[in-house]
Amino acid sequence: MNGDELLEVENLAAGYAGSRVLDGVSLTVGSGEAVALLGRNGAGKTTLMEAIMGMVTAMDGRVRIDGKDVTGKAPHVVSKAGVGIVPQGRRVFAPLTVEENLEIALRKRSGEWTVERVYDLMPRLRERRTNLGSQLSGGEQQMLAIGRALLGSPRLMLLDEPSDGLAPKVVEQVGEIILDLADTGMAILIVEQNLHLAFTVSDRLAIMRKGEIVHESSVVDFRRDEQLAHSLLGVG
Amino acid sequence: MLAWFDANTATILNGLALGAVLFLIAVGLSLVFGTMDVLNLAHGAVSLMGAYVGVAMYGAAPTTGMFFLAMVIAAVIGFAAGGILAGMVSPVRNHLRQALLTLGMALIVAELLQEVFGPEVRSVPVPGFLSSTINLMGNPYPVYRLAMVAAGVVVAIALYIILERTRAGAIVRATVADRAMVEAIGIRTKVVLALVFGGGAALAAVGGLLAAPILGAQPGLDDQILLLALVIVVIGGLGSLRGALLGALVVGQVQTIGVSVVNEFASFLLFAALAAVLLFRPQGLLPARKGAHV
Ligand SMILES: Nc1ncnc2c1ncn2[C@@H]1O[C@H](COP(=O)(O)OP(=O)(O)OP(=O)(O)O)[C@@H](O)[C@H]1O
Ligand SMILES: [Mg+2]
Repeated sequence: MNGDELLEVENLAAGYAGSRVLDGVSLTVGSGEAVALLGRNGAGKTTLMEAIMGMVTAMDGRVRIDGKDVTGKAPHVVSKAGVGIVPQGRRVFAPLTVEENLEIALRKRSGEWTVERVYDLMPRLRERRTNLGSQLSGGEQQMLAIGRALLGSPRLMLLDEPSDGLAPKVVEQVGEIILDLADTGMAILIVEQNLHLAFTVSDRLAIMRKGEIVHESSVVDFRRDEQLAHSLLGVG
Repeated sequence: MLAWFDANTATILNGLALGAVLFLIAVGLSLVFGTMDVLNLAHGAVSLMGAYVGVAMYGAAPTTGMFFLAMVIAAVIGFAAGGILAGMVSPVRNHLRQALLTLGMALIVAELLQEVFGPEVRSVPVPGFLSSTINLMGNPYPVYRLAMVAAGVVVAIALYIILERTRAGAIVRATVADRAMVEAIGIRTKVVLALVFGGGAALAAVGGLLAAPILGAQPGLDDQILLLALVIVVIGGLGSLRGALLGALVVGQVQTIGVSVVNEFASFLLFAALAAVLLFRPQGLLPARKGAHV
């Protein structure tokens, strides 16, 4: 592994009480790179995301952010090391207003992202600033979850199924936002069932099956080899 | 109906006064349960510590200055006790063990208090400037009880503003809703929880101090207070300020009206209210809005 990697996951094992879900996962994301993490339901994608974030405890292996070892550290430490997460199911704070959701996520000193800048990126959130998290549509919640993660001014963004449950039009909007972020040079690790979105955003992809990474390649190579795609994902 | 109110105004006010201090005591228990998911069985003991601060400091006729100083000291002791408890329980994940740990601490504190202050009931005087009565429909009514109501109102408003209108309050509400997610946006929830625990315990100690001229200070009072606070939390709903307020008002009224109307059934009435809530609204009357995934 070279020094350019922003995220290095090395032989990571993690899981829940009594069940080891990840078994020796290794994965890297370079700075400014976007990587798609694919795999069937239950493959362990969310567990990997949460293990990187420290929300699931690592049992073995290493997680490094920009060379800094954060294995076994609490999520707030990982967050401060430069990682933001948009979790599966969005998990916006339902009893807080849109503005409160954003304000509590604002990291004052680093200051690259401000609430205003988030509103400029997603004007819909500005319109709904006084609404509660629970009053938002799915797409608005997704935008809020993205904005909330941005306010930590992360260098690496973990996105777990951002298109899940959204209408096609809204998927497109969210996809554009993610592309905008990728263009700013933010590194991205994205889990997505919507392959069109995943491939549009990503440079590289990794495929998981039963807690292991079974394939890694560039998106371009992967799309060229239809048979491989079919055998790994069951799609054409 | 109106005639009944006229005849029972004093009883209703007594219920309000009791409800007000019970609110001070129970709100911390509720918020700690909501944010930390910890059932703090030492909450009654912390409250009793507040009552004994009154015993130790008031003397026969406490001055105004002494009254306010005692409040500050009760708050500081409560805050420290809460912080220590938070530190002790935070590595313990299992609910039963947490409950046993705090229960153990409660027993130790109760024993120490009995060593120092003795097993007998210690009465606590009303501070001089609040010891007068006012005329209430031809009958004298103690000002101190009205002051208790006022204290409850002030604390309820202050807590409401802190919780609903400040960034710190938003962090607390978010922690109630989804603690892991709050961590993931870079906030050390352990600190949040220690502060909530400390703040709740400080209020419990001040509540115990304010209630002392009415309830006295004695061994065993801690258990009674804890029981009432638990009933309030269950009736009102976990982790919610409004729930604690409503629960405390209900319990205050049921306790005092119950005693004045059907004395021998008063404690039965309280648990009948509890059972009714559990039966028809098991989440409590006004629970915190958890729903992290909506
Ligand atoms: N909190 C939990 N406790 C115990 N087991 C869990 C928990 N969460 C997930 N698992 C198990 O871990 C395995 C991997 O789940 P994970 O959520 O990581 O998969 P995923 O690839 O994200 O799936 P999906 O595409 O459905 O989101 C599954 O077998 C799941 O049942
Ligand atoms: Mg998942």
